[in-house]
Amino acid sequence: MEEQQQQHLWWQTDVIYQIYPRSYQDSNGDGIGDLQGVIQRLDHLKWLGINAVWLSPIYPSPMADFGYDIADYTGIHPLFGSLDDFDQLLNEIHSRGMKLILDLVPNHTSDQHPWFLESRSSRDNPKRDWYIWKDPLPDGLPPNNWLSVFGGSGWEWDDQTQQYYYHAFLREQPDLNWRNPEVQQAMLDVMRFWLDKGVDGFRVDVMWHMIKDSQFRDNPVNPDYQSHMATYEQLYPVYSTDQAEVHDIVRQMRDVLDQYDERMMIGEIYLPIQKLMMYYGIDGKGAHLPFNFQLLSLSWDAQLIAGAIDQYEAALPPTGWPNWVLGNHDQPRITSRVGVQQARVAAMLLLTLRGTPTIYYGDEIGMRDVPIPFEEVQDPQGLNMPDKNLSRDPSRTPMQWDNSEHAGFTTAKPWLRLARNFARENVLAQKNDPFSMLTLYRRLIELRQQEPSLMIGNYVPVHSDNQVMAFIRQAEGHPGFLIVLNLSHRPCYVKPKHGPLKGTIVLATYPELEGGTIEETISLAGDEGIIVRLSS
Amino acid sequence: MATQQNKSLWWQQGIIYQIYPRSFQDSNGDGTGDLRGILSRLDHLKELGIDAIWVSPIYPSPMADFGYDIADYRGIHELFGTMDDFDELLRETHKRGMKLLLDLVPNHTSDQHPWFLESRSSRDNPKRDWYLWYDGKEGGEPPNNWVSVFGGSSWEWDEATQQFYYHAFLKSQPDLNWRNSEVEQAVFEAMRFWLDKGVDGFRVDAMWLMIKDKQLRDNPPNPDFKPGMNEDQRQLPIYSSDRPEVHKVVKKMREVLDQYPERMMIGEIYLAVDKAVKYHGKDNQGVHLAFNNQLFFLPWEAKPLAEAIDKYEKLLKPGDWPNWVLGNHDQSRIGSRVGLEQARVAAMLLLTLRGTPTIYYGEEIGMRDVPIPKEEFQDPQGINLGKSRDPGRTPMQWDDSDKAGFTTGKPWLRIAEDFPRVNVKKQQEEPSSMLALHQRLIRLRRQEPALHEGDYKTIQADEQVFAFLRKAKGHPSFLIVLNMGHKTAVFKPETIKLKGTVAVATIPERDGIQVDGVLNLAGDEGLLIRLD
Repeated sequence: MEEQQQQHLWWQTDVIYQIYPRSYQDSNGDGIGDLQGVIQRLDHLKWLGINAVWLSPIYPSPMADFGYDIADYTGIHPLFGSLDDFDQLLNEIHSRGMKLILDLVPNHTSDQHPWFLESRSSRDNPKRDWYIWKDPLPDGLPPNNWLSVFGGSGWEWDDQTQQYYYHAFLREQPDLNWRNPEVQQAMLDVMRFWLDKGVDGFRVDVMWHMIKDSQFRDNPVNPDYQSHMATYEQLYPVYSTDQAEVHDIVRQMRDVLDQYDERMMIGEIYLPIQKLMMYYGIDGKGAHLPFNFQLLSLSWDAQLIAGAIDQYEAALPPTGWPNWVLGNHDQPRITSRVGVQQARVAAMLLLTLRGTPTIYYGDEIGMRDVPIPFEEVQDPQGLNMPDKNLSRDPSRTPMQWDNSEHAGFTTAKPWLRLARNFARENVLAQKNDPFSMLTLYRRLIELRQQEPSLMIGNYVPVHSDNQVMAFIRQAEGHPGFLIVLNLSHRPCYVKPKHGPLKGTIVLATYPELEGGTIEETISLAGDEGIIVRLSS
Repeated sequence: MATQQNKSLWWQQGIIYQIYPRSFQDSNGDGTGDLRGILSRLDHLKELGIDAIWVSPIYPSPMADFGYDIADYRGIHELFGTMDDFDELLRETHKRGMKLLLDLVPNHTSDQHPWFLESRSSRDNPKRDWYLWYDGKEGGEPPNNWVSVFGGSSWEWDEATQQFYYHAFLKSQPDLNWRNSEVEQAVFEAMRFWLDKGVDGFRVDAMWLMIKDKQLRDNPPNPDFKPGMNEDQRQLPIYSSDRPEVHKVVKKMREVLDQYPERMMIGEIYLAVDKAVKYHGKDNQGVHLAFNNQLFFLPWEAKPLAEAIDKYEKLLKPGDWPNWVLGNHDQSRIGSRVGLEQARVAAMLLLTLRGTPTIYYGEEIGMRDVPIPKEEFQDPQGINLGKSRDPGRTPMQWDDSDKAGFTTGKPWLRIAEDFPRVNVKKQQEEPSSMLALHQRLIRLRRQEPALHEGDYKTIQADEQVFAFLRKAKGHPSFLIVLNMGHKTAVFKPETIKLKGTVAVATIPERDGIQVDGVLNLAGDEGLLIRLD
């Protein structure tokens, strides 16, 4: 057993925390978060029990898409600090026994990246083929019907060289041509640059987009499209994403990582489970963790979620390690999808499921989407499709640290407005409140990190109905845990089919139930979840 | 219109609060709430801004259905206190400028009521016809297929007199025969007894059930019945309820009330809204308020809600006064139906709609349904059908002391585990609490004619946002904007000019903010805006 535990690596046992650097902590009074700010808050993360930090992009960028449009893969944007600041951050993280994961954006660069400036300069530039250039159709129209995720066509006309280039996102974000070996080498060198510095891994942006159909066939129409949906969803992106050859690329990236010890990558992949599983790679030589986004899109229904967990567990390849996530910088916050009360249940789910959990900054204090008046919208997705309420700004608002003027985030005007209720909902206020979301998160993480059953044990479904789901986590030789979650607002009564289970409630969404024992029928109030240490 | 406004009475402008007396406040340590307990909490209600208190039954009763089985219409159950206690409660309520409504249960008595004891004693007893006695069909079958709300046939065989009697609820709750004029007179006498004491009105239990089909025709099956629904919904109760003659009875009850100044009655009527509004009677000579239970059953979505409100407003005849309610002792609490965040939005809705609002005790602090283990079930509906109403009837949470300040003994039903956090005392100190929200909403409603008697107009209802206007001539108008989802939402009205000041917000940080043209709403946010 000891051995088995030793076989688990940090990215399997740790809890990952995503920092959106613009919004975490400002250190220099410009209203925008930065690296020195992150350094100041590392003790918060350590206190919370976090052992791995993923930083969204911090590289030089014109900020058309807030850093996901990179102009220099091996630099630091002056807004965020300098390379020295970065080295200090990495050092401070490692000295606390924590890991640092950077955001790698290999699918596209900024249109201001020197590679693209060269590529667009003429048709015979040596880097012309580093991007996806195509002639227009005879009538001048774009080469095919592919759409941009951020609205409009995926093709941009270049007047100077009389060709279109492809951009899956903004026109300021031209897609690299990953079928070109020079591109591959250039990006693998970028990885080596950071790995040599000691960076512990990468979260790889839009991994499933990296290779496109070599014949550039039209995408088919989505017959279920409705007008409130993003325009991108008018088509099924069967030819513009998730092409078979992408797995060769992932494998090459993995090979780079494997030349170092214990480095890892997480793939951002929005795909159905069966396709997602392919990204673990043949013999597990793909992504260490293809992000599992099911909890972002499933209806908050106990039976549905229990079923999806079973399906996911069953679909995992033998060496594949599961992972779960409730939110990120592209999604409405969990509190805004399921409500504040159910967000507590969701936290318990995230931190008791089998697999690596990733926490989005602010979720640990129950931050909510903040309504942003249109004249203050920053996100291009919101600006490009103004009538669809698709701006991602609401879930990117500054972290709420305390009740001082700008919530302790900055001394100046923050780049995006703060939640109105920050004076009540902040880290400082919640730290000493035994009923707070922060206390719940900290205790859940603590328990998970203490108990092998929760960290690495098996997942055994026990019960699910239209209100409640229950499962057991069990590692051989260690006490097992029963988790019972009421995903509804009404009281629920559960009689596990495994026969009567005995044990003590060690953690509850609200601590009043703790210390109690469970009866044959387990009764829970609405929005309540419990973790029961089973007596053997 | 102007004269009607002048006539706007307390039960139109005011706010009613339902007390379930077992669960409100115990004064003698027996674990069950009582009248002296209520007396000691009147100041809470006054501070909250309540105008009228409705107390669920307090009469002598074997408590088979917690007092809805009455053995003496003119007494006080010793559990709750004495007639002196009642007189003091009434006096103290009036002293604070509040009204007191009693629960009148005319449809049935307890089987221990002397009337029924007499009635069942022999076929030729003078009170035999006070209840619904019938011979069985051949083969000993009950007279027809009617089923009890609490499960099983609604006919009970009486061995001694060899007939069946009818009970819409428990067999220990035989239905009175309201076609018998002696019954009418007996119950009217009971009404006068309380009205003479100064009681301000009645909530009339099960009003729509009072008259049954004379021919006892079988109810047809309900084509929409699905497993999981209550057994009594297997059939459509078209012959056992809402018979046309019921309106004559209601009118007679009204006549009793009208012999006194400003007394009123509310009818408990679970019927489709078009049928329920008929109980207001021709020329408003029926009930003053026909309980409007729609918010119990409507999906919690802006569009169906707005449609239901518009429909209800349209169905009301001149002089009919609307009313709204989110919960009562028979329902799951609003906090458990829509969640705690939306319960704040629901409170804003209840207290800004046109018509008299009724608040169920505990709603003002966001009390929720409490899970009750089967072995602790008290409610006969739970014991018989597994659909216990106990979770919505748990003791009021006053403070964080041992038994939540409700009792010094063992409470009759368990108290919510969260009472140390969720209680009146704690919420009095928190400006962002549910209690504070209720107080602010009620205060504004009482101050502003647009809110307590103004017109209603739907402004918008989309996937998430519901907005409506309240307007009274010569007074400031108010726009109410409710985000019924957890996500942020944008509200940009096209039919009115949006310019004003936030008077009350579910999230108090929004109070006092100017709005102009567009509103960006947080999830679960409701705003009450005073228009310029």
